[in-house]
Amino acid sequence: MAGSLIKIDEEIVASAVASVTLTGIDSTYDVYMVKVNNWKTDTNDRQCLARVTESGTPNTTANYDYAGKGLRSDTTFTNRSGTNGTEFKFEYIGTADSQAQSNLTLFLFNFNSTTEYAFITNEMSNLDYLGNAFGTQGGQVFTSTGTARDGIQFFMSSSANTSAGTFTLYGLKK
Amino acid sequence: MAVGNLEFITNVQGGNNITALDIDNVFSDKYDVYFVTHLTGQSSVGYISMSLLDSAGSEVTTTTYDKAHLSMPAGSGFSEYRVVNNNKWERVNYTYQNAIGGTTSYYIFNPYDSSSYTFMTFQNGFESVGTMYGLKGIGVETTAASRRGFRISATANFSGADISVYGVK
Repeated sequence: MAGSLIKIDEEIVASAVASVTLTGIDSTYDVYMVKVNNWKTDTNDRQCLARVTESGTPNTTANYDYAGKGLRSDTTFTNRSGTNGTEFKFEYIGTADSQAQSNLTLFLFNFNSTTEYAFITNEMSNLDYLGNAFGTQGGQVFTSTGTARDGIQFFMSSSANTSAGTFTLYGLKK
Repeated sequence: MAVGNLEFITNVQGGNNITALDIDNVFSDKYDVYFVTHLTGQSSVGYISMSLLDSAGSEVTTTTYDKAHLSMPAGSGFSEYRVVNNNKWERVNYTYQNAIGGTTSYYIFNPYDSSSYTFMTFQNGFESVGTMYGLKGIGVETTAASRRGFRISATANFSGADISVYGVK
């Protein structure tokens, strides 16, 4: 029997790029998974971000809400939350520590729907730009409907580049 | 027909009254990311830790393990657990009061990459004296070195551990 986690798209970054887009979300699957490993940036203290794409274009409207618990090894945990942002939010990495990176697992729900909000759950394990273990576990939602989302675009805050990383999109067979 | 991309690597079942169980030769250059399921098994009392096995199969016991988790008991306040510069990832699973034992799932990132630290996330559920707990956690082992497996160890004997490892291709 064939497996049920099906690779759809993969982007491997070996030199600096402004963004990474994974495409191929449609009605084939109800739930999608994204794994990201070794996500690095070329600028210190920058936040990992993402947006849904519609017909390949990122939606930049202020319709992204998020909530999660920032787990960290160095000090008290941090609540992460916000509403009406313009992107999904993850954690901060940078260049002050050469091993600073983000490793993510996301599950994507309702992306192909035109009537339902698009939800994601996120787990991550990072080394932040100060060299601390830091990762947020939580959920996020894109609260705009009317257009199916066909992908997800990853980028860094303040126009920093992604300098490394493997970004992979899977469908969960139904 | 599409081929699946979650590939079974191995299942290891522990014997009776052991204090450590090696899951060796599971990491390779075939995968960057691994998914692990871990049924603790039965024990009298104790918590479970994870450590990595180096390229020769020996336990990495250097003080290079950082970890954080949120402990979420049903019916009372949550608590934080943090550790840096430890010699293992402590408390990734629990066994208490002869209960069947906790269950944990992990994602492990970059263990075989000799140029990268090894990262992990985990989710756990266990029962202690009638109270259900959930754990959500993260960890990093801060050595850029290739690891070929991991060790599960406990502060008390445990029996019936059941661990499966998958590669996420």
